[in-house]
Amino acid sequence: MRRVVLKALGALALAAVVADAAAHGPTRQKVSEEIAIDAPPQAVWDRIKNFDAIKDWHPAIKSSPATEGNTVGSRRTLTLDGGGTVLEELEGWSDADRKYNYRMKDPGPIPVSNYTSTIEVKPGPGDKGSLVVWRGAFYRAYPNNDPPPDKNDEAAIKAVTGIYKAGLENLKKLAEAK
Amino acid sequence: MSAVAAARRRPPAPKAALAVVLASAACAAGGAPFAYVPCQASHEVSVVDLETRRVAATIPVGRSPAGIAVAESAGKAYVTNADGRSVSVIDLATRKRTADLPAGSGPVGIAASPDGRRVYVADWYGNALLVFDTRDDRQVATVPVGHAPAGVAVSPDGARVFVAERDDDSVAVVDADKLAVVDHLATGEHPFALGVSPDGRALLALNVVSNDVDVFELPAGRARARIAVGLAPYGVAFDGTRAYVTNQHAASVSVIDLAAGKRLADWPTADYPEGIAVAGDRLVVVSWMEDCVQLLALADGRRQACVDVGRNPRGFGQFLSSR
Repeated sequence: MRRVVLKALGALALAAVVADAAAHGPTRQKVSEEIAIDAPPQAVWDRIKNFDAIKDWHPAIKSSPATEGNTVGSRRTLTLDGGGTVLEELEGWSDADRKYNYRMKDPGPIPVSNYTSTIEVKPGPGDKGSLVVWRGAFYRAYPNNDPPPDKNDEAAIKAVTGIYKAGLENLKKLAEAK
Repeated sequence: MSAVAAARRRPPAPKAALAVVLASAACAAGGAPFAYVPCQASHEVSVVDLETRRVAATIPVGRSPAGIAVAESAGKAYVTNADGRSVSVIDLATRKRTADLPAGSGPVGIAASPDGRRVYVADWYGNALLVFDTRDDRQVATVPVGHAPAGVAVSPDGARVFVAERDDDSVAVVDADKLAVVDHLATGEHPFALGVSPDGRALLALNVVSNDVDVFELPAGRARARIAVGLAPYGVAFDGTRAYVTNQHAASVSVIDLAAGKRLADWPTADYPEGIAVAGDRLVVVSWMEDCVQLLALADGRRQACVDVGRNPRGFGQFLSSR
């Protein structure tokens, strides 16, 4: 019995991997958003550095537990305010560079595929300010030609831009609060 | 360079004259001064003058250009328009687009035969290799291959064409005379870009998911080594003894000793490095995320400049040209 369950789990895991790396649309898209924050880089980084902390600063994310903290390979499950979940895996994390990068293993309701992203806190502008840069690279959700409007390149770019802007604006508000 | 300057200062003694000849030969062979870089979000090709480090021309092409093959002996460059389902033809003399050729349903990878007579195009959705004759730019054959064909490379003698079958984890070997698949080589996970060393003895397949490079001995196609590189290897270039592999998600170039089958170093680059070429004593690296074409010293990877180009530049293929 146990063996059968293990086998089934293995097949599920394999199916997930195959789905994640399946064929994608022809044209990769990117979104790059940044925001200047009037707070020291270390203070801003301390707010976002933990892979499971995104629920604390992103207004659209209710919970974000991670399996292995900030270790590469850690997986966080985002539960979205509007419903649905997203599974993401940490691919790089650097306290020294104040940045981490990750990949979506399951985009849930977000109309993208093969999505990877980096978030980074840089010094400036000014003596003690910070610049937070959030960048993503992804394909639309529809893998073939002639996508429906809710799964085309524009829909993907719009969704990711909205997520980044909402998160960065809220982070600024939190970090600059007196 | 100093040999040329010295020759200019005094009457050419036989030795100095020879140096001039050698210097110009080296320039023609490895110092192609222009990079033709397809920019996928601005639907154009940016022509970068590698000497002045400026964009010398901007050529509008079809929708979402990604791949390019400069066929110098045909006097043309061919650009795959991934969303345009076409290949744009550029006249190298006028730097103008002269035609758009229908090219299946998702043209991405592209390579010219060394004699410039043919261009091979991988059709990502059509699971086929499309063959064009560059004399009249007509499609002359369709060769069925495996799933999601991506990178294309041709052996230096023109006899074999290699096609990465991304979703099958293999490379198709196509006989250029028979125009048929004669072999499949098993690779790591999701081979995307391919490269053949200039001596024709090694085929490299870059596995974008398993983050490694397969080295096959040619002509036999025997697997010789699997070399770990950085995250998401995406483009490859060669000089005499080394291969240089861009790691898209690691913002680096892995330097590989071909004879030893060993990774010697990783050099940092701008974000999302993709297309790469060796031009004289420099590496030319296309940065998709930063919208620029970066120059690195070939000797030690020192970063020299990043020349701004159009949006989402790719440079997937042979993008250098002498004019």
